[in-house]
Parts: sequence; C-alpha cells; structure tokens
Amino acid sequence: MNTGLSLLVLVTTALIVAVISSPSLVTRRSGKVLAFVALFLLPSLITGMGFVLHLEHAKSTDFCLSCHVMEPYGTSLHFDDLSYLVADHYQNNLVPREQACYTCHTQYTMFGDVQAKLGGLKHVWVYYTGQTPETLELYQPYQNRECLHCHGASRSFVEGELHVDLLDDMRSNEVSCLECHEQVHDAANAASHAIWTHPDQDRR
Amino acid sequence: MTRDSSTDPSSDVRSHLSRAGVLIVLGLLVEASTLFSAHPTAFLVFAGAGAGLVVLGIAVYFWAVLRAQPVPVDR
Repeated sequence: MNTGLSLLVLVTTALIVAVISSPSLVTRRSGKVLAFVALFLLPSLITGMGFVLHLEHAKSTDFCLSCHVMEPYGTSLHFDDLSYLVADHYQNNLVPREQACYTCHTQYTMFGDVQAKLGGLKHVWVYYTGQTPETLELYQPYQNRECLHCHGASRSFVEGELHVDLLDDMRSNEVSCLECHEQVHDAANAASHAIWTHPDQDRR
Repeated sequence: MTRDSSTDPSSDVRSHLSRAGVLIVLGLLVEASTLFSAHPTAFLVFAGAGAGLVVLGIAVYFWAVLRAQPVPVDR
C-alpha cells in the first residue's frame, strides 16, 4: 500500500479519536474546524485516493487474470506460437507485460480510460453475480484505433506490402486489422497449445 | 457569566459524533486493508464496505452538525 496513504489513515484515525474522546474540543471554532477536517475532509480524501489506487491496480494483468473465466486468455499470452497476436505482443514486450490486457483493450479516446474502467466494473459485477456468459465476447467490435495507437505511425505499418493499398480503409476502420491478423486468443483451445516459458524463469 | 459563542455539545450530538467517528475509523481500516491486494474482491470490499462505512459516518457527522442546538454553558 502507498506509504503516504497509510500515514494519512493513521493521522486521520488519531484526529478522530481525539475529537470523539474530548467532545469539549468541538465547542471552540478551532475544534469545529478540526472535527470537519477529521470527520469529513480527510476521510473523503483517503477514500478518493483509495479509488484511484484500486483503479490503477485494475490495469494490471494479474488483476484481469484473477477471475477464473479469464484463465484461458492468460494462457494465450504464453502460447509457443508467435503467429498469435497476444503471444507475439506479450512475449516480445510489444506491450508492457504488467498491463498487457489493459494496453490492448482500453479505448484510445478522450474518455476511453474511464470507459475501460467502467467496463471493468461491469465485468466484476457480471462475474460476482454469476451472469458470466458461456462464450465471452467484446461489447463492441474491436476497433483498429486501438492497434493504430501504437502501430499507426510505424514503418512496418505504413510501408507494409499488404498495408499500402489499405491504409485509408484501415484508418477509417472499414477494413479490420483482425481480418488478416485473425489469430488472437484462441481461448477455447488454450489448453491444447504448447506453452513458452522465459529461459530466466527456468533458472530461478 | 455567559459566553455567547461558546456552546457545549448536547449528549445527543456527542453520541452522534462518536458514532460517526467509529464508523469512519472502521471504514478507513477496511479501505486500508483492501489496498494491499490487487484483486477484484478487494475492490468490491473497498467500495462496498469501506467506502460505504465512511460515507455513512460522514452522513452521521453532518446529521449531528445540522441537529446541533447551541446550549448555554453552565453559569
């Protein structure tokens, strides 16, 4: 946990104990201000900071894969077959490994971050209320925008032999990147794939 | 001797302040304990129990403030 936040919780608790253990304190103007700070301002601040920290945690790959239904998607990150988009991106560090899911599944728009987090809250709700569907699907078709956020300006994209004639169509999302790069997760058959482990992991 | 601006909180207000304090401290402890984990359950406990207790405590505090009536100090 954040050290600053821990200290803030301790200070707030001490102030609250002081306020409620000596009620005469709040008869003075300074005491009333102290009570307002201890019983409203600081708890509100801590709760807000806690929300922000939890939402940051929610970006982590571990967070996404902690739900049982996501396990096959996590397995696909380790497929020993780089023709799978997720395996290639994860194993070759094309996305930060600790935020692999979030990096590709957030929306790169003005409020995309907020929408991704609201979507995450919806996932949590669906999971805990037992409404998880048999087959997981995205809420809306995957947008090229998310791929082009990183690849859009890259030489391999703008000069790619098969890309050149389709650049405008891909930028306008009329042709999906996934029409050609169609091997993504294969979660349904994740258990049948060979798994790649990093050599450093074997040495530990 | 009387002091116009000085008031003692009534026992009702005092008990409300105590309740508010206890609720908020409990809520903060729950919130703090969940921040050690990056798991959806931790977030649910944070939002449902921790933040819930804090909001309830703050509501009780404001209720106590709104209900507070000035009580003259003993002469």
